[in-house]
Amino acid sequence: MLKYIAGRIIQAIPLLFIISVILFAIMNSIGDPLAIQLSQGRPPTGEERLRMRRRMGLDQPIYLQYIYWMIGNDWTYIDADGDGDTDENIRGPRKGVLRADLGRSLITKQFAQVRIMERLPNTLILMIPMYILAITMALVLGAISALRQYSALDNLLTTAAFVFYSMPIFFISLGMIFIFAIGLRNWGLPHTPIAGMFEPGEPKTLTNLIRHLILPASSLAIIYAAAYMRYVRSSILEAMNADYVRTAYAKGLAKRRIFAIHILKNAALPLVTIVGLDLPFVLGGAVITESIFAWPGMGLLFIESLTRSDYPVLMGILMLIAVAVVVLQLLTDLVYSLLDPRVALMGQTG
Amino acid sequence: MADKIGDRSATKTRAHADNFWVVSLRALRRDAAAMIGLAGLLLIILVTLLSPLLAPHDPLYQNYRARYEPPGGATYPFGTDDLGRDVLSRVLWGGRESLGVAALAIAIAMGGGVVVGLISGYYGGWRDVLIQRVTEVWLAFPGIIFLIVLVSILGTGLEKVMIAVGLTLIPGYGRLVRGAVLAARAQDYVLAARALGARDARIMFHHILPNILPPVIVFATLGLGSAILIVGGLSFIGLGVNPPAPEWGAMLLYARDKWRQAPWLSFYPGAAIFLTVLCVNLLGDGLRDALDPKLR
Repeated sequence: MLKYIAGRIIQAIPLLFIISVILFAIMNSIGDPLAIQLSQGRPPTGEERLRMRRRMGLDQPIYLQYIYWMIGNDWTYIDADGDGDTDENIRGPRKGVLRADLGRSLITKQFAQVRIMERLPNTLILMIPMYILAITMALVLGAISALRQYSALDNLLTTAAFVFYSMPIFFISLGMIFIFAIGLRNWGLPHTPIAGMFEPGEPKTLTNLIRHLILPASSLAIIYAAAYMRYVRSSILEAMNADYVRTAYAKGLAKRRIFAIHILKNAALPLVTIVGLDLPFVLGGAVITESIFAWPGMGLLFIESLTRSDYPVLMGILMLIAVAVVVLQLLTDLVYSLLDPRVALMGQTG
Repeated sequence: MADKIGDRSATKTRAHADNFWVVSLRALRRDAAAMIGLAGLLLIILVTLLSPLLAPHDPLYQNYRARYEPPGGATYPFGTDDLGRDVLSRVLWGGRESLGVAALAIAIAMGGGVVVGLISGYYGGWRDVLIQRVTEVWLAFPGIIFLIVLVSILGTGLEKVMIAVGLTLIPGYGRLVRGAVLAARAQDYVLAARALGARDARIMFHHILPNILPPVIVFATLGLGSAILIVGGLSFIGLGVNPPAPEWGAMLLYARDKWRQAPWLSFYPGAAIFLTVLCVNLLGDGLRDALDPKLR
């Protein structure tokens, strides 16, 4: 088992390396980080731009920039004042990604890891409750729907799932805002806030946070639950008709036990795969939802950084996601082998 | 001798294939939900194609005397926006962009995926390893982030969005096709074609492709729905179609800060996207059931 995990991690290293090279090249070509920078309150002149570029190390060839990004530049001398000559007594300040330094944001000058760690908790605050809600809804409603197949309730639930599954996230979010934030307030009822995590000047209490969380989390949860419910329903139906379930009934096992152990456990497998594929992207935040609700998470940080070509932050976010994909794929396979002893870990490739 | 055997098996395969499509079509026709989806989709396509004839106003014309007209009026059934542009005309015209971009993006994804998947699955070996590694890298990114990166490289605008969405979706189709090809490669009809001396390209496109088409068609139909959502989503975060061109997602973005005064500005384009995706998904679900012999 440990050997298998170690093997998978070692296999992932070249993949992550290739991803980082490609991304670095792309991120460096998408725009000029100096385009929106000011020097003493006005756009910099040509001379000043050149100086800023040298100070940021952006004048270096891209492979050198990549090496500095990866292993840092504290082993070499840099052009600290931007006059075009390497200063023979000043070493670079960067430690490199391998030593947990993602570089400084070109805009705010904060460390990229600091920028990301500011936002990551916000995204998790949004996404973890959302995911728990979505999976619970999907399992419960999917199970009810499958157990009462072709009943009025099943038809209602499958239709609802179908409708929400087809609904664009921005449509559902705007609808929620319209009903629960604007409508309820116009009618003088208790209502939810429209956007943000806290109102300005409000104490940062848990209650306030939850009030702000309701709309974005439930908008997302409805859509995820609708998609997952369809899988749960069909895989429970499939398991219910399987031979081993008939055998279990024939053995005279209690219905409840058959459902919990024979049906649900087998029906959970496809859900594990799908959730495992979806989860890493949770770290990237829900770009659209976060921008509708002005939720200061990773998705919003990504958009902000992209429009300013702030490549250290962009690289940080993207590499975080890439690592999460690798780790969660491994976890998915492990959970899979726990749920289904037929799946042999060692026999798998890739 | 060999010719005869080959001929017979080829006719047999073709006759079987014909039956399959006929039977599937019959199954689809019996599916009320799928037929509603198909009818709805055809209606939407027809209406958007005829938008120059149907739209009562110029979608870009700004009538400053009729700003924020609420919907329901005779001149402006869907109301007007803050610049006095007719929402109905904009929704009608917007469909051309939204649907066209999504459909072409799916065509790119499907075409690319079929070629890549066929090569990967049919030849195997280093081509397969190479393609699968690239696919893994490709899939290691959240769709929307990959898209945003692509759009920022290519720039905004219709055809750029189309290419970006198409490229993003290729690996999914590639994987699907590869899996189907791997299963088909060992079938008798492929061995027969090879025994007759058919070239690789002929075997791939003439013999294997028609046989693996059903899942690809289902995937593409269901994919069209998500492509419409993606195009709309990209426009909604400002990375899609350039304003002032009417496009459903872009209209929603434009309406975003005006929902207090004018909720209809968000409602109509949002409902248009929703209804289109709903019809596409109804049809796609029906196709999946109809084309899957196991479910029949």
